[in-house]
Amino acid sequence: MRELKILWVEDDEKFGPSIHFRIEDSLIQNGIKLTEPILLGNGEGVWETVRDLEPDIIMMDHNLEDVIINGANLVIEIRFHNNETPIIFYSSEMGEKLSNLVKNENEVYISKRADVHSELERLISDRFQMK
Amino acid sequence: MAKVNFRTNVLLKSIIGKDLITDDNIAVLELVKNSFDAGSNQVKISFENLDVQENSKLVISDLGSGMSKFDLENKWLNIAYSEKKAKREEYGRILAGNKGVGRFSCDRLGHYLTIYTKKESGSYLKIFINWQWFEEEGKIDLNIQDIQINLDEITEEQFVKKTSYSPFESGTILEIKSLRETWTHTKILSLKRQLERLINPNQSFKANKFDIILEAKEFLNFEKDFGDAQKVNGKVRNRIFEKLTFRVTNIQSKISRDGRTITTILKDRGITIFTLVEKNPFPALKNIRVFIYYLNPYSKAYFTKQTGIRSVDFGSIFLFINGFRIPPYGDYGDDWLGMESRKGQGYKRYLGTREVVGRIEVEDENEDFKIISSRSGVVNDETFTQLTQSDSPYGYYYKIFRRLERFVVEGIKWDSAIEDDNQLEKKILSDPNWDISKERYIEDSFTRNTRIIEVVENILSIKKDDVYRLRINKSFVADLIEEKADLVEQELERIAEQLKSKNLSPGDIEKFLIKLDSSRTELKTFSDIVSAYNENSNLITRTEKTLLKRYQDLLDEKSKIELRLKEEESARVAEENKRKAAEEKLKQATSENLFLKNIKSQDLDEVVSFVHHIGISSGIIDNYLTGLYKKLSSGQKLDSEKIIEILKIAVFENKKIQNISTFATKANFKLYTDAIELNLDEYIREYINNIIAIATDSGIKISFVNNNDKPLIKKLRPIEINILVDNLFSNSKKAGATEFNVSLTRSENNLILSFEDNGKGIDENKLKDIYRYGYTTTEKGSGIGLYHIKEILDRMGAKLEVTSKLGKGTTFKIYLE
Repeated sequence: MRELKILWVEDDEKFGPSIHFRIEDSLIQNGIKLTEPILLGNGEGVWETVRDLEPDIIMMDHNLEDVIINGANLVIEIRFHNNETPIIFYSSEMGEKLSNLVKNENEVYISKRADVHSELERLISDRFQMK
Repeated sequence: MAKVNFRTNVLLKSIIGKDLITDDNIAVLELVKNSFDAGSNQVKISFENLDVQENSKLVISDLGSGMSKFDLENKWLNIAYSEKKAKREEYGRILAGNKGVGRFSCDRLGHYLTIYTKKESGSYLKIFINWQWFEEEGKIDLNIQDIQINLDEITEEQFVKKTSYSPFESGTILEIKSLRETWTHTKILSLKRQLERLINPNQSFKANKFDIILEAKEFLNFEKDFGDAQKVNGKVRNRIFEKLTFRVTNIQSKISRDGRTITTILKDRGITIFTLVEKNPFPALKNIRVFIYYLNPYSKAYFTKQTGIRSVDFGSIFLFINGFRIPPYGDYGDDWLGMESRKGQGYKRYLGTREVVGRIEVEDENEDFKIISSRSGVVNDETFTQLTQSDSPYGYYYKIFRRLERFVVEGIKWDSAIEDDNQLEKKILSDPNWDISKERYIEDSFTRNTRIIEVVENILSIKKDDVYRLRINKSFVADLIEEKADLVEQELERIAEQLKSKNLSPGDIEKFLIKLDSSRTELKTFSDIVSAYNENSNLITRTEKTLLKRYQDLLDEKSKIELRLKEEESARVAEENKRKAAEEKLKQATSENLFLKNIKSQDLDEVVSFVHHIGISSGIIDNYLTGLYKKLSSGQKLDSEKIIEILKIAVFENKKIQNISTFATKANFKLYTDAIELNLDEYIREYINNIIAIATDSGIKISFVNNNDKPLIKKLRPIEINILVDNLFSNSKKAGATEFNVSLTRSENNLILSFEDNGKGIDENKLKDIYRYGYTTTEKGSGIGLYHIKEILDRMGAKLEVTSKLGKGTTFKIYLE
């Protein structure tokens, strides 16, 4: 059983756990176990957390309320330190082209909030599945 | 003719040994580098028997690859031979030591050297050297190679028995005995400081981890109550830069591995001000990072608190090549980048070595940087120049440094604290409970932040073509705009007050115009900066346009007054009338400005926030219920407690949604302000601009045509206009339209606002039903939309007329008075 650590940079603390709840069963059937989601409510210390905890996947919400910086900036910062952890970058808002904000950054996958669960499953199955 | 050759007198040893390497710390550093190059994950430096000089020992041990007999004879004993020239890289590390003289550091440190070394599956080898053998003066015939050294092969038992060391698989132990200097606690601490600065704090690669452990057991008791910074025993860490990132203003930059781009991030107390990706103009440079931290008086005191030394004594900007520091760059008193001389020219405008600490890290695979020696730094060639040039055209370091500098000097002048450095330091060091909330500055944060945004474009001074991506902190800017709008409002109020209280001449109005104009200019600066690079600048555009309009109105007023003054009596009366009109207009401007502020901070934000929360809540419900369904239908047994817990969450999230939707559909949902005087033409145009992006994304072309010459100012609730347009647009989209045309025309007493699409249309027979609550033509729709629109229009006193033809499209016409 392979264990995956996922970091959620998301200001609603229920969203990450709800996604884990939704997809954990089908992952277990494929030999992947998700550890407790790591939740980071705002942008502070994101790079340090990534560096110290070394998650396998980073889930990045673009609109972090009550926070000065938004998800796109955090993506750029994480990549600045040469970190290549795959990031799923999502937002509920329409109209902002998320892909433009993180153009040319490697390993960043754009998603709508409503599709996050399937995007995450797809990423896990492509990258981490024991074939 | 005779054949002669060079000979090497024994005294050569001292020339390349204790006489060349004059600094004990450097000597230890060289040996540490050798351990690093041998692939060891750690090196242990331990001091023993320090009280009696003859018995004093310094042992440097590592668990690297070790040496074989061949290695010892032909490499270690081979003066100036260095494999590192031939092998660029080993064990995943770019090799650190060079010059082949590191071994003679041992001579510097002590009179005797014993080496124990072992390769994996090889035997333990021992070599003993008494450096005095090489110190016989006046022996013209005694060459270095004439001194015979014993090389012993010993078994593990012998090794364990004879020495106090534990056996190992592979590695090297350098036992330096009878140290030449007296190593006091202070001296060892100074070595530790050097070692701290030797290691690159950026040890992000666990595989290439390299730990330095310092041990001086005799001092354990002596220092047991000291803080970590004052202890010599323990792992050497370089944590200072990490701690600094949160506290201080800093700039980080890197040139990508392929040399194509430079990414730069400016942070202020942990908040990112901007991130920038641009073309790299330095052809010789790649794979380099720069970190510069600005220390204001408070930061300097924190620095001392964290590290135990003053930042000035710590040094300023260090250079690391392939993981190791290149002394003396950055040491106290060293100004390799020329910052002090530059500061001398510019008086207060420049930062010097005392105000910054930082590092430049180079990953140099091709030896582009040529290291001269352990104390002389790097060759000053083209590569070095492209890095360090301190005048135009600036090198990479200064390119980045100057941005930080401008930000600090122009943007946050307020960082000059009220008390002087020494007083501050005493205060902070003596107070264990000191934190950031106790800091006091000369200026307030608003003034500071305003300046920040004003200088951002100056800081960047880049050609747009060179910028790949720029993001300025959006919320930061939005907050500033809000505060700026506040200030403008206050100014307008002040002007209104003045107008009320006296008769004003054109000259007085002129003064107000100048004031208004400067607010306009400031806003224009924001607008230019932000709209050039950010996605959402409509707010600024709106505020700016309002001010422009007010400005122009007043300008009109001014000229009209000047005309009237020509006639005596009627002039005075006319002026009186004009004054009243200007007052009216200013009141309107005030309320419009209020409106804009409110739009940003109250209603529109509220709605956006609601939608955001609805998205999240419904997502959570979806996830939990789908997960629950999946688990139960696959036969999983879930205990009722878990099921109840999940249902509770779903119910709660749903209540949030209900709450929000209640609010949004209530007739008088405006909690904070009333309906406001609105210029409908402008508002609708702005709003259409707002949704064009979304529309184009969905494949619909929106157009707006204004054939109306008399602007319509009406008291309306802006949010309702939004909902109106949104709903009509949404309906058109659902009807499969590819065009959505909005127009304003005037006819007699009416202003006609018309929305026309080319969707599938509505059956003429059904037209009268469309406003009924619940009417819907799509399975996804709720049928609330048009019902609500009718309500809004009824309240506005507007008439609605709908025409449609199946297969051709639908037109909604709204008649306003």
